[in-house]
Amino acid sequence: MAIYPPERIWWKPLGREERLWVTVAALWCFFMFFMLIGWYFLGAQNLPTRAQRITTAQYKSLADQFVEANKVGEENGVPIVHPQPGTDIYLVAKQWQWTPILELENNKTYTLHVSSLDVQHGLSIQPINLNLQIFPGYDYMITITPNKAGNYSLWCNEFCSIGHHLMTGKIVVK
Amino acid sequence: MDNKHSGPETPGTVVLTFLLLLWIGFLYFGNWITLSQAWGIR
Amino acid sequence: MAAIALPNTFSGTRSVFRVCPVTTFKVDLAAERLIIVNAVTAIVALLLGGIYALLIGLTRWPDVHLLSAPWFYRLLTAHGMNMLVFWMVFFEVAGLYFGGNALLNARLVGVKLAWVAYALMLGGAILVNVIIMMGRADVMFSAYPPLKADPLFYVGYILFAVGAILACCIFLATLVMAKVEGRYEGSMPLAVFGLLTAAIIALFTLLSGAVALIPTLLWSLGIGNVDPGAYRVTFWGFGHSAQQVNLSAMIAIWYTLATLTVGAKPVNEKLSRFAFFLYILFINLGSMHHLLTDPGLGTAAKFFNTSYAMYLAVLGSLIHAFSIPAAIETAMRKKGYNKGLFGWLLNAPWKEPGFSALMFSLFIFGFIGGPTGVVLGAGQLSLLAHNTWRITGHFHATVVGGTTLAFMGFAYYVLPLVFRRPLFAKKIAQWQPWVYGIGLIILSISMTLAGTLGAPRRHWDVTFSNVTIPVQVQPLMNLMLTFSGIGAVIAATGGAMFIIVAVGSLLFSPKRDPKALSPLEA
Repeated sequence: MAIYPPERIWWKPLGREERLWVTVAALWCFFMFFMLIGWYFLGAQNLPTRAQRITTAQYKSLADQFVEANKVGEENGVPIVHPQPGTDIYLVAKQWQWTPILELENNKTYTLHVSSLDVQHGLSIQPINLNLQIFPGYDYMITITPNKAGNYSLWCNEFCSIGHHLMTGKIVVK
Repeated sequence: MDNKHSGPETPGTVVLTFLLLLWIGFLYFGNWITLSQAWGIR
Repeated sequence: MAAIALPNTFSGTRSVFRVCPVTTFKVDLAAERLIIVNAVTAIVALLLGGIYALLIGLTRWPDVHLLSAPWFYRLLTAHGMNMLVFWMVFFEVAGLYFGGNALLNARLVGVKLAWVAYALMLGGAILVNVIIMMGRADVMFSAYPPLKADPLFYVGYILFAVGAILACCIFLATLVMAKVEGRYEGSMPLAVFGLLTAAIIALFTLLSGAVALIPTLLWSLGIGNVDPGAYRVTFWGFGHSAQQVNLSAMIAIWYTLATLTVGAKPVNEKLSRFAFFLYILFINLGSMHHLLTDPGLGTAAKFFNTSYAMYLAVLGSLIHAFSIPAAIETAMRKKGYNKGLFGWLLNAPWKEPGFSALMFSLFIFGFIGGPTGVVLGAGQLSLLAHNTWRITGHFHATVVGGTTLAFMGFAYYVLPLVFRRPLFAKKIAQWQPWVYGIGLIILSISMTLAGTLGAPRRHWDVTFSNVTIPVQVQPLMNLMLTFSGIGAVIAATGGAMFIIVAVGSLLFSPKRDPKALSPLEA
């Protein structure tokens, strides 16, 4: 009777089935914990660990330089850049556009920098469905190795004020 | 009452909870397999 | 009504009690009034949040797309605040006063302060609602800086939190006084132990909220600055931990409902209490689930916290997942329903709303909300799910299909026993948990699947019309969004049925002797 005080001595040993269940459940819990650590060393993808503080003005000027040096075209006013493989590449989040459009080469590794110029945003890369939280004031450095050619859509999945649903972008892997 | 057993046997609950564990395992490993497939984020 | 007055230790005053003829509990009349106002206020918040839920659900259904973008985001903010904060916490405060007083035959300590707490919470809730509706706080429940709301929004949030802290302290003082005055024998009942767990977690939660929101209020007034990362750490110490308060309260109510509906007795008090204790120690670490893909936090911190230090809080939940059905099975078998593996389950009182609410809540939380939470919270897997609609699907299965439904089932007992009114429209009450539960199963599963296909949360237009750079959406996502719209409509119907029963009982049912009103005998 969960709503009445229990009998005087309620500190009793577990039944057989309870012991079995608690053991199995505890083993599963420990397994899940070691899975995280094992995956960190052996897994194919992990949470990015590199980030540094940066002012929005500094980040904007880095990204502007990057666009100027690598620009190859424009789509609806958004610059398209084709950076050298293996280099640092810059993606800017701002209300309400991901910019520039990145043209990457297949099976090449890049360091993708992402930061916001205004509020928080959510980088969502589709259709592979990889998602990261983006802050202003933090330069987030993400190692990526695209492994399939095609068009990848970007959208924002953190509410970033009234035009949130207008915020898209693109990565093209060639 | 037998002091080793705090209650009568509950075979139905045992089955239900092991189904639960299977279901969690299915979701859990399915997601890890998906995670192993793209872009090598680090 | 038989009223008795008992002297209070220390103050020399007397508290007046009535004796409940069904349960024989002595109920402090001052506490009863507070239970009633807090519960009624909770139901008003649920009504508001439910109306917004329907409108939001109809907007995310692509073929309906009801609201304009500004109103969608505005009502989504109001929906989150009213459901996650106001409905839950007002009902939990009512639950704390119920557990701390009625179940222990105890008096409420600090009646005046309890009214002050209520006034602060009510004032805060009204202020937040008004500011949101004025369009001055379109920032969502989480209100991440540097997105800024009107300072009064944060003031309302903080006032509410202060009121809730006060209510928790009153509950703790009441427990101490009940022991001092010898109002119950031995250890406190398991349900009260669960509520105590909830209150302890709530104190941490609300203090975290103050640490997050007070600097944010100052920043909104132009004083100082708020780091977006630091805000998220402290805010989720409130926002996520508040859901752990709901979890603990829900499990206390599961045990209560199992007792009230089929006379179940906890199989092993030691194990159940140990599971609650694991929550106190570890479950608040889980607030870092929100921060897994944030820049600036180390991997070790992420793993330690989001695994609740080796999943020890998950162990607590798995223990409850065994011991509650085991208690029900034991009680049913004792009544003679011994046929086969599941004869006890098939012959259970499914027509009794308290029982069906309990079982739907157990199932939705146990098989959808809990397992998806374990997956979403597993470190690296957050890359696949962060801020997608999978998150929304998960917490609609925990806090709505789990907690809200359990609270509704509990309300079917509170109405006759505390409010002393027979259930209005019993037929509606009988089907309500089924409609609500099935709606939420459809809603949460289709949200989860849409999120797996990339659907973002808090998003007005997943078809991405009018964007500068066109994007490709997986075709199946639209189907899932449609299903979620249908699920939302069914769930809103179930919610409306609950409101009809609750409000109808309050307005139209004559106040009567609760002896004739127990749903068990109905």
